[in-house]
Amino acid sequence: MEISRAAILARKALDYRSLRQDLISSNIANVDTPNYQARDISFEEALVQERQRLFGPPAKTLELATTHANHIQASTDNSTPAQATIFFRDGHTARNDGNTVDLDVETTEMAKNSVMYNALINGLKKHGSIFRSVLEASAKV
Amino acid sequence: MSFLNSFDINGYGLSAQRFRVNVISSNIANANTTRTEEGGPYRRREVVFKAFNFDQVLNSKIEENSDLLPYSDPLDEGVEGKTVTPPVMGVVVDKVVRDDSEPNMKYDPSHPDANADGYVAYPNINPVIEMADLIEATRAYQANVAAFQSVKAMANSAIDLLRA
Repeated sequence: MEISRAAILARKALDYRSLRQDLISSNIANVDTPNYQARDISFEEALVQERQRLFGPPAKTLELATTHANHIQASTDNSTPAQATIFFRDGHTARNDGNTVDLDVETTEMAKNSVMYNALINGLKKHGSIFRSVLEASAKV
Repeated sequence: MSFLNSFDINGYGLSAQRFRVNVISSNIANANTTRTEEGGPYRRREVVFKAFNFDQVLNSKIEENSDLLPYSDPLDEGVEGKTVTPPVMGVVVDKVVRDDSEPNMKYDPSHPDANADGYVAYPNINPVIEMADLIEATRAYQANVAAFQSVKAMANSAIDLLRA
């Protein structure tokens, strides 16, 4: 049973965030491995598409007007969903052992990621408390 | 991603200062090196930093790699066509330059690299200057870490508003 579509999206974003944390951890673990390429994940586009699938197109989208039965209906659903892609990322400075990990970039990205993870967790908690307050109110009836 | 931009700017600062520490270390390590591939004694290296317009670079990258909306600075919100002065600047290492000042000539006729007069050309490195630069770079790195921690605390306390 689907209670909340927002929670589905938030959980998906949480999955991506924790995967990103794993990738950054493995980059830091391989900071001295020769020829190691730093990895990262890009999931924002996939998340935007997932949001469109759940909530429909954004309000500002201009839809094709169909005033006649023979008019072609523009299809809004994308049959091929965007995939999150793992890519090789560069640091700020070049190194001569073929390794592209920049420790400062990794710690920066990790801090950003954990802040966003925190935000998602808090958002989900708040979202859940709305339903909890409904249940608590119904107990008093 | 606007509220996470200061993380990136601090990250660039951290990388730049770490690179500077590396170059200073290499100067100290080669304080007595008389042989190099370019010939002659080792010459002192110095790092040159360059500021770049962070928002502009970020927006061009966003445009290149995705169809997301560009990031606009909150300072010019609601004011059409107004450019923010001064813009938010990040830092990159522009280049590593070589200090071509005269080498230190030391009298040591038994040294294999001594010239006809018995003088050896030692690198133009003053350890006192290098140590002072090293301390400066370390402090600058620590300042970046402090700024980073404060930005992180701000972001987390903004999220804590949700909890109320």
